[in-house]
Amino acid sequence: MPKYVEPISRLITELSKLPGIGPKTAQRLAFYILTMPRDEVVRLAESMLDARTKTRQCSVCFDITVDDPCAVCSSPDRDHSIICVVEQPKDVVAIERTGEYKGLYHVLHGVLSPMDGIGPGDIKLKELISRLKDPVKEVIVATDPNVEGEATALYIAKIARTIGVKTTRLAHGLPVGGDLEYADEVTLSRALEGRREI
Amino acid sequence: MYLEEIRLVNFRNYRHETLSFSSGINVFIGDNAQGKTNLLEAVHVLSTSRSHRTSSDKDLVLWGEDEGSVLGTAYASGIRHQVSIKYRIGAGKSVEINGKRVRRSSELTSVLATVVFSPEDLQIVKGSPELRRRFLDSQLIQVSAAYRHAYREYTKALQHRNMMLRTYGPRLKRSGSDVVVWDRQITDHGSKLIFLRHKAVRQLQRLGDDTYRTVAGGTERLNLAYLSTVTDRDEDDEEAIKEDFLSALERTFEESIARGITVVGPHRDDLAITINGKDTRSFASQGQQRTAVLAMKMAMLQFVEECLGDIPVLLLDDVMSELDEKRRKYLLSVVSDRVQTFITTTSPDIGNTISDSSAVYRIEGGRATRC
Repeated sequence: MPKYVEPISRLITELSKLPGIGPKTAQRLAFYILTMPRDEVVRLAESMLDARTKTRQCSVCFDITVDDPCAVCSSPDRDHSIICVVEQPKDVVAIERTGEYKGLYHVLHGVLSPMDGIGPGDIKLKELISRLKDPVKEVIVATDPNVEGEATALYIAKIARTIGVKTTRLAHGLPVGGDLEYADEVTLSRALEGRREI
Repeated sequence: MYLEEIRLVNFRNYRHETLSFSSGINVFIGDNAQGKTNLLEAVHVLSTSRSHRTSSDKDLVLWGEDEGSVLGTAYASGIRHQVSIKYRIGAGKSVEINGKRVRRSSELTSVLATVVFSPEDLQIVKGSPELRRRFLDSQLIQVSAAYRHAYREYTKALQHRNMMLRTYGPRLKRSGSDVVVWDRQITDHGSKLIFLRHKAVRQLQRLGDDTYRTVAGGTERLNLAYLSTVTDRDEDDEEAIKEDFLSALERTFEESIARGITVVGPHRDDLAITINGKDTRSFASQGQQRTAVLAMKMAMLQFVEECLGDIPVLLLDDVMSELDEKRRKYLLSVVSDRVQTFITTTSPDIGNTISDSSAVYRIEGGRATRC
């Protein structure tokens, strides 16, 4: 089979290692890169290298950060008595976007999933437990509402209870701004279960 | 509900074929391996986006082609819908209703629901419990979003728990161990499954007994009862089922560890089928078994109708030859003019027993010719 010259085939191979990128897309991207101005290619390469080398995990909350500890963990304006536990760094960004939450975070980098060989030792649970001491009074578990996320939430609640820290879970409910009639039955029945007095 | 027209492009052994149907009985006559069942499969694909015969979408596309599709015009509650299912090898499938992409294939069921009756179903009475669970599951998944959700989550939680049982074995202690968090997931979703199956079986019992008496024509009574491995309750109390389930998991913990699987739960439950109080598995004659299966399938048809408020389409895959004259007549009298029915058969004489409004196709080597 005829092959591309070495620098191009190497680029295609490297690009196709990225998630969601198959050989065809990798090929298209590679040829696009060839048409880009030289300084733009340099910026792209540098930004990739920078993102990789200048960031690290915060030693307290394990979010992605430039400075350690991260801006949230070291801020005196944040409420240090509440920790919101999430699965991934992108979940931190999602909650920060609300502008409502003033507490701290803890990124687990995964959830319990025996099928994938992921147990409590494979995610940042030990590190969370060691944070559950004064002044922490509440842990909000914001893992995804599926079996793995729920099991992880229960696991955390069980341990937090023995330490005497309150555990709460994000509510299940209707998407705001959506029409009731378009909500799927499962979401709607969860919302019914979690109804509250007004 | 009914399917007015179907168009197949590179589907199974059909390259290009368009068939229009009667809202009553439709018959596909032909020798074996000509493509009769492929047509029933295509109707099933329109109603669920999945085959009832294979889990591999690749098998559905004509050999040597990259893309295959099934397009249908269906009427639900008098409203016309265009349904399109396209399979692309290596790129998944796309499902569209009226030109709009649908994410959940369950939306198809509200446009076209199906009940399949095939020769394998004759094993429901005598065969393994798995067949009886599948009898319930396959249809409940179609009609109930709550069931579908609970089924999916239960299956996942069960796999996680079993993996823990196998990985840690005897080192796993129940009290205070990590397995408990999976028990909660299992009982949350599992009790929902048991609750909904109980409810369905009560309805099926009522409907099935009526049918059985009509076909058998005597004093025999058919009884269906859900047999749970975790609870004796059959009342409408999901919380109580959950408690029973949790204590059953505790009780069987040692055994589960020894065997590396969870030994109780809806995945091990059964459906007890009795005639006049006698267990059909050991006592029923061949004839009684067939009547029982026929009654259960017809009950399922009515059950789906009660759930959806519209009559589903019936797919009879080569079962006519398995039924005698009396049962065949009964079946046709139930469906006549009311239920759109698709029948595959090798014997041409079935054409004589049905009305003029029916559509009869002769199937030969991936071509359908209307008679």
